[in-house]
Amino acid sequence: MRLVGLEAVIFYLFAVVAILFAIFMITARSAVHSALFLISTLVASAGLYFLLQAEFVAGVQILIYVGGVLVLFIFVIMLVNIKEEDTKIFNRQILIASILSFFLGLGIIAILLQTQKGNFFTLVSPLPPKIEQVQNSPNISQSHNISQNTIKIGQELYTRAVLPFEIASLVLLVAIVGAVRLARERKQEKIYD
Amino acid sequence: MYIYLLSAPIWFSKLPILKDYLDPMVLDYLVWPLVQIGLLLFVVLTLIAYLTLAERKISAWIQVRIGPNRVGPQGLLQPLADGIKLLIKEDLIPLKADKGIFIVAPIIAMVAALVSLAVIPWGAAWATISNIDVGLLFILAVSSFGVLGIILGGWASNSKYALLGALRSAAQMVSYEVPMGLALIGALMFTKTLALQDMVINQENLHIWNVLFQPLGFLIYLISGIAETNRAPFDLPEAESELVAGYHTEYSGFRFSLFFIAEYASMLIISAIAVTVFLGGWYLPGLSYILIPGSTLFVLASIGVFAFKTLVLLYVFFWLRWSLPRYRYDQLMELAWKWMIPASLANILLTATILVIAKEFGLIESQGNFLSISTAGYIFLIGTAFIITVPLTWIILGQINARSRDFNLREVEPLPMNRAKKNS
Repeated sequence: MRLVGLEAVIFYLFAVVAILFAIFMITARSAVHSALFLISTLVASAGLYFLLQAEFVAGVQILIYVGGVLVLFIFVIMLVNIKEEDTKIFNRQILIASILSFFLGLGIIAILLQTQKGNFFTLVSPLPPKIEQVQNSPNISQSHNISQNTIKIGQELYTRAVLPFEIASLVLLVAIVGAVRLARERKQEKIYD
Repeated sequence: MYIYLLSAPIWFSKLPILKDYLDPMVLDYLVWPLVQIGLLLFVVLTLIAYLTLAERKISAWIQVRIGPNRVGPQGLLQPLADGIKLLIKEDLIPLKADKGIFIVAPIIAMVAALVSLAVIPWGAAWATISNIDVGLLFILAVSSFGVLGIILGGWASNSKYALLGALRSAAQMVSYEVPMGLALIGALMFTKTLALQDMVINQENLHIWNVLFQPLGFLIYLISGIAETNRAPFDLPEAESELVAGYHTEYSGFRFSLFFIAEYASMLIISAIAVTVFLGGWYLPGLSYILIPGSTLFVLASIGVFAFKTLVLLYVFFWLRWSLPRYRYDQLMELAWKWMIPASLANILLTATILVIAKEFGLIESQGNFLSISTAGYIFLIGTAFIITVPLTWIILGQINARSRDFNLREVEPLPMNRAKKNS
């Protein structure tokens, strides 16, 4: 897929923002700042999903990661009140980190080469901008469908991907029960009984 | 992209000056939305200013006082005076505050609240700015940003009251987001779309308001919405008697008013979504017989209907604030996790079951994007909703939570640990 015109501008905007804030996230001293930069990265990647016409994934990405997971991150950071790490910037995990990132980079390059199938560096003449998309906007009186990929996700979740979906929900259930079990001591249980 | 911009009304594209200088496409998809956005922001911000006055007046009436009556006739210019006062006040930033986040936090809160205004169907046809396919999801996603503004503001102030308020509101808003989202799913089964304008159109086609099919869902949504906007009786994040002012203790002047605007705007959005999803949006039975659908007058009337329904819900917000005492914190959490979330799950389950049964008996038919319901189907669906869903959920949850202490107002045996203390 070759990006043209406004699409390309938006893509590069989101991509650059995502990478930049990912770097900021790692280098930030304060844990809360890190969490904020992580949020920006996630929002930028939600923008990329929008560009791929996966609005449902984009919406859920923001709803779950920003509204749920990262709010809890910040909640925990505030609760334990982590102070800025000034003295120990580098620790002894450099070796492991470099090995892991080496393999990660290898994987990314392999996938890039595989999906682009050779014409990664060849130039293709840009496509003409798509005007008809704007003109085809629907008449207001006729109601249109849920976006196709929302339907597709729903169908896939309950047909092809039903087993992983159920396993994931079971894992979450176990986690919830475990958390409740850890939070309530036996003494407390006895009192309430 | 699946973002559908709605074209401008005919009279707008025929305005003499605009028609001569601009391309019709530019007029439809650039100038008209900008006009809409400008108009909407102006109206909404003015409305928010007057909501503060309305709240003070209503509270005064409820407490048999007069309320603000000095500035202008009947105190009608009070919001203006308040605005000027807030603008002139000194902008304080605490010395040990995290300056960057302190400045950004109110902006996040306000932007999150105002962005959602773009997809709300304010009226029929051209009265909506955009009708995106995942409108409801978009609003839920964007409004979950609002929590961030509050938490970051509380943390960045470097004050213990602000931090406590922020912690409380984080826990509260994360808890109540769950039943709020789940309560909407029941209504989605009837409207079969996530686009907000289409939801209204589907309700218009069925000639019904979803609240009749979904009384439990509406109730859960309304309660969670009140908790989500930190309003009384769930205003623990800013409980004056405990936390001074909660997360915005250290904020002054215009930054404080940004938080204030965000709170009122999110109230407006919560009621607007409740109206759209449950109360039929701009649809009023019989309106299309009086006026020609699609005409300018019809659109204006639909905007009026929508505004009226929203204002009624906002009045309920104020009314509840001055009628109910504040919840205790454990009661608040218990209400979310032991009542609201199970009730919303039960609502989904029962609604789906009822729909399947109705389909088996041929009372409902799926026709593309719409449901078509026979007369017996209406009676069946509304009857089951009120006779089965609500009482059944109530009874089951009451049984499960019967031993819970938090809402038990009867005299109960003190806990063993308290008893031991009393004896010693």
